[in-house]
Amino acid sequence: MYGLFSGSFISLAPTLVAQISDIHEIGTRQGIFFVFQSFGALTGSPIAGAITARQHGSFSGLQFFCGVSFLMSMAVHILARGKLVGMSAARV
Amino acid sequence: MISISDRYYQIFLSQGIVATFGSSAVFNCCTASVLSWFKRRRAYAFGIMVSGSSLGGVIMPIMMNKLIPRFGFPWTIRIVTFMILGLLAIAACTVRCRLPLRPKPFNVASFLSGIRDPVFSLTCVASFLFYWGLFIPFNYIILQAEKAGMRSEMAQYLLPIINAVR
Repeated sequence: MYGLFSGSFISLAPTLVAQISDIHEIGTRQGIFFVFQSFGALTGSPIAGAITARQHGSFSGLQFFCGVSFLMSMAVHILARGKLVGMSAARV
Repeated sequence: MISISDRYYQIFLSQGIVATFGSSAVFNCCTASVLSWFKRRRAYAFGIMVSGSSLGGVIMPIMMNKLIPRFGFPWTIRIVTFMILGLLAIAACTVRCRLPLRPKPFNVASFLSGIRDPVFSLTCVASFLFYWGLFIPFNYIILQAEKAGMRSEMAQYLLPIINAVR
């Protein structure tokens, strides 16, 4: 299940950037996009490890952190879409 | 270089810095090339391209689990490297960029101007949050499965299963 849904985002993310940018800026913007992504990837696993260590080996806090970060990401994406075309269900 | 490292800083330098420079260069070139050739079916093409990484994610863990007991860690890494070398040779011969290359002067301000666009900066923050959580299951699922009582031989196949579904 996790593989199914995460894979779709990973392949769509650069296309997202390409859709909201001018053709000249796509490369530069994708560079900045990947910088942000890399900081997230860098810090996420150690934070999860620290949470697990604090909970003495239980994985529930780690699962909670993972789920909450995905939910927050979803909320910010909806906000970005709302800023671009408004909150209706119309197509971009 | 990882195959001959035995201290932490050597592994950090070889795997964490040199290998990532190379792999990110290859990845960005291939991405830019694929995106420049397609307009209508760009997402479709990019999805096929990224599925290659999932295929690698299926093959590599199983390959390394089978090879390490047989040949030891250094030679396993060298075998994987030779495999990657062969595949990269094919890629180097076949990847072409459609748009003519125009070297632009390096300008830090041009990198930062994108952040002023609110939609783009919100998308960046959203992807940061997404990647915060993304690699946690990949790193911890085997540990959690073994803690929950799954047999070690079966638990090793969880990572290839996740990557296969991607």
